[in-house]
Amino acid sequence: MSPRERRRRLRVLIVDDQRLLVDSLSLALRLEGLDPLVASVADAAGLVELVQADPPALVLLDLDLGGALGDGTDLVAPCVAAGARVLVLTGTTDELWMAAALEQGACAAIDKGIPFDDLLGLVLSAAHGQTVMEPTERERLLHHLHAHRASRARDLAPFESLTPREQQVLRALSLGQTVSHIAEAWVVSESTVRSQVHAVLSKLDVRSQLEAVAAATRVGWL
Amino acid sequence: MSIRGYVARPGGIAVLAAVAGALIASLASLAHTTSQPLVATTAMTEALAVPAFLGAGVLRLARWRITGEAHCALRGGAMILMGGLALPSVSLARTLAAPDGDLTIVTFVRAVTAGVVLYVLAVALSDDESDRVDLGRKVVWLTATTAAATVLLVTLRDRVPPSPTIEPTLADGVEVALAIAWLTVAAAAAVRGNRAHWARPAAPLLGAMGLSEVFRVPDDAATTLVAAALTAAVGFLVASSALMDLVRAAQDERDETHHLTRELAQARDAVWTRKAWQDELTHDARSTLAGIRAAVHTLDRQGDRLDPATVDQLRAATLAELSHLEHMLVRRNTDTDVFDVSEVVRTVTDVRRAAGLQMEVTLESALVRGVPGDLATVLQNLLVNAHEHAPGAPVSVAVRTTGAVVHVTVSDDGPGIPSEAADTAFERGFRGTDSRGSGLGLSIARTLVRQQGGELELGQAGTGASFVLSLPLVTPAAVAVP
Repeated sequence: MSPRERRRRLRVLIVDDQRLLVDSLSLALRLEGLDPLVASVADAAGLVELVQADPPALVLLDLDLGGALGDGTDLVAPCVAAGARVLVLTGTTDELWMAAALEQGACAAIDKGIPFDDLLGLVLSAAHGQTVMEPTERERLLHHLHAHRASRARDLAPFESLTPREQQVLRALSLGQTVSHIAEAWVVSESTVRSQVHAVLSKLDVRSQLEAVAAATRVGWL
Repeated sequence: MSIRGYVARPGGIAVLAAVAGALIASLASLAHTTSQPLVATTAMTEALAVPAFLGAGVLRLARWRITGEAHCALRGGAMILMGGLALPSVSLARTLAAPDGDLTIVTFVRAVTAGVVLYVLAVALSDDESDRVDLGRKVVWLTATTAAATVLLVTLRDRVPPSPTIEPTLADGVEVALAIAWLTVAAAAAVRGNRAHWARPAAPLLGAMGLSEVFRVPDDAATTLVAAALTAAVGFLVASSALMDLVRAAQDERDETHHLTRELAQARDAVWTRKAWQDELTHDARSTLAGIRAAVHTLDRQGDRLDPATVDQLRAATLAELSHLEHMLVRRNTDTDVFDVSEVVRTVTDVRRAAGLQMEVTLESALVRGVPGDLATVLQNLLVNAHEHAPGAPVSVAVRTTGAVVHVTVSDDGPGIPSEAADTAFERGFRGTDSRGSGLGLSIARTLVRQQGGELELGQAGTGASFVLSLPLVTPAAVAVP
């Protein structure tokens, strides 16, 4: 392959921890005339530097990368800012997660589970700068994400109104500690803790400590 | 010491009884200044019993509000009737006991009220928890009947001329009847103690009430004082036990709340752990399937355009991923246990030796906590790897403990692992050393060891390949704890 030919080839950076998929995909992409590059999934900063130094046409990004990279969503924005398109290729079925990646600027989010032919076709289209995700589908996912965020903010609002000390009290209660245990551990009087418990109950609009803990668990505050 | 701690002591009850006695004695000395000392003392003692019974009734009703136990409601009601009607009517009778006083109505009210108390207690004793509605109805009926009878008597009293011979007999009769009724209920309580946990402690008190009625039968100031003192003492004991029960109920309720909170936290953690595990499994399985799908497709469509070595590697990696997938789904026996590493090593090496592998085995007893089956799988995998990697070369397996860790070293005299492959040896996919071996692959072997708190690494071998598996030892003290 001459340097000139190499320049013509579109570069695709693959960021995924499923080695067999990475290897097969890079073999297939090479045969399709692209220039695939497999990124090390051990170092997020290095990955971003690599993209910034010489932005590839496309970054294929898994979301659940585990280990050092963790959540792939965080990598979308830096890659997009560097001038690369980002195509999310994921094993997750969590639509909110995919939507978050779209919000960060990914051009599409694709389920790894689709037939490999389709997968390859979408990757090729994306590398060539074509639209790979229906705008309506994109809108739907983003709308879903915003609706979810709004409802979550609503659920969490009462918990946000707790003072730091009241939050500590609620956490201690959720561990099954009694008012007297808490008072002893914090070296304060029981009546102080009791009034904090009352403040928690009234702010959360619940009638018992058990109900408060159940509410915190239900909305995922704990 | 808390109130509960105080009244829960057997001595606490004795102290209460002594306090009641002291109060009665001081009242008696006060009463000596009046013209009728015994009668005045009796009246004051009875007056003392009234708040005791009323208080006990309120406390019992409070306990009923907390626990919802039917017998508490009935006993609370009985005590309030006792303190609010039965005892005051006795005092009233005595106040009105002028030579020509008419005691019929007072005696009757007293008899009826005490009867209601006894009836309620009897009903409480026969209380079947599933039959509360019926109980309530019985009490309402009885109250209505009592009211009707009282009205009837008041009407009759105006028509019948007062008779000095009938009234004392009537009063005595009522007292004897009540004494028998109290003693019967006391006996019933003693017998029922097996089924109603509260009945047995109440039996002596009910007996004491019966006794106080017996003391009332002779129309004598001294015995009447004894009767009144007995009633007052019972009132104090009843109040103290009601307080003790209420405190206990409140404490139990608090304990229950905290117990539930703790349970809730545990259930939440369990659900989250399980959900996280399930999500991870789903994700891993889907990723693995995507890899297999991609590899099979690539082999199928592009196989003829790839060089044979790449095709072989891709095939081997696909098979390894299939094993990985199978292992993910069918790994069943994951119970952790304390076991001796050397026993597992001996079993595995015996099997491999039978399969023709030459081995030098060094063992040392080392207890660890983990899944013996998983350790066996990992060892087997390492031995198969060594066998395929360095055919015919002798393999050495050594178990050694260093400090709090046991190391199992599996090394061979083969060509070793090239340094450029060392980094990827534990990665999944065809670039790693996995591709040479069949079976599980090093990445999952490492995962299994890590799940047991250990580590699997490449060792510093002289010539061939060497793997070191380390696991934390279990201290003998920790073994004893199940």
